[in-house]
Amino acid sequence: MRKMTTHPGFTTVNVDWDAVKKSDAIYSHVLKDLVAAKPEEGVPAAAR
Amino acid sequence: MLVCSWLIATTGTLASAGEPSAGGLSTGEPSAEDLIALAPVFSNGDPRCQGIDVCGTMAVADGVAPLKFRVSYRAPDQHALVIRDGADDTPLLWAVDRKVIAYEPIRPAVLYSTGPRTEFILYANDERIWCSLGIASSKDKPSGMCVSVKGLFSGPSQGDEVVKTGDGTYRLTRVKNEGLSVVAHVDTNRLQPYTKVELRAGHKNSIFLSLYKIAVGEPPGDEAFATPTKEQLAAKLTVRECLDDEFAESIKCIMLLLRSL
Repeated sequence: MRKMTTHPGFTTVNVDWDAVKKSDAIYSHVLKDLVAAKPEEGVPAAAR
Repeated sequence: MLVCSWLIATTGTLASAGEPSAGGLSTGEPSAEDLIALAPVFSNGDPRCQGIDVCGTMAVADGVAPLKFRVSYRAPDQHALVIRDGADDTPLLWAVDRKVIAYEPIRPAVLYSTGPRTEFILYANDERIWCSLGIASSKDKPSGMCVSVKGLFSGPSQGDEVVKTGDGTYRLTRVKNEGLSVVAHVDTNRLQPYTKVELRAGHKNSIFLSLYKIAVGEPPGDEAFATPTKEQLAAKLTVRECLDDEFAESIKCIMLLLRSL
């Protein structure tokens, strides 16, 4: 969510960007945890 | 819904057709044509091919972190595609054997479907380069992968350059017209010698497509086709299950890319 709120293509979209940023931090963490390895390293068996 | 799909015109008036050169190469070193002849062409439709595993990055817009992707195939019919935010590795799209998980950051939710197929196509002729990467409705055809690295070198050229980078390793650059160039790292000691391929364009010669792992022949391991269950996802995140068509309609390409802005 680095530049999302300032990107000119999205400044008129009616979105609560602060809420999006907060939820994104959670989703990003959980999703990365489920795919703990990088793509080239594959998905861990624990995430199947 | 294809995450990225583009077509590039490579025809046009050339200032000079140029002559292929292998500047600085000593006798016995391969020419550009020799190295191009080694470029891989592979497809899941080839019955001799037991597996494909390709990792790369794809730029979607200026100033936006490139998307990372991994596309895997294992004979006879297993396909997987994982796309991540190139800046922080957050998974954005995860498709394995028609089970598709996509992260929609605005809603927020994880979209889950069991219908769409995956697709990765990269090929070219004398006039065009085609690339499509993503998922689409499964009703019309099965998942597929078709890549012709050799085809990227087809068409008019403004010149080739071969630079020896090590013992049996070379960097091959073909400058096409309209500012497009193909850069390949070739290791002639390997069975599949192309270790990295980049497509560059624009006045900054920026990379818009990079394949940094091209493994053909050996089937990828189970880890390439592993996915979390819907229950695992739902334990921590909001999961919204979608039908095949609904999935394609409910999440647009931009929603996946948005996060990388």
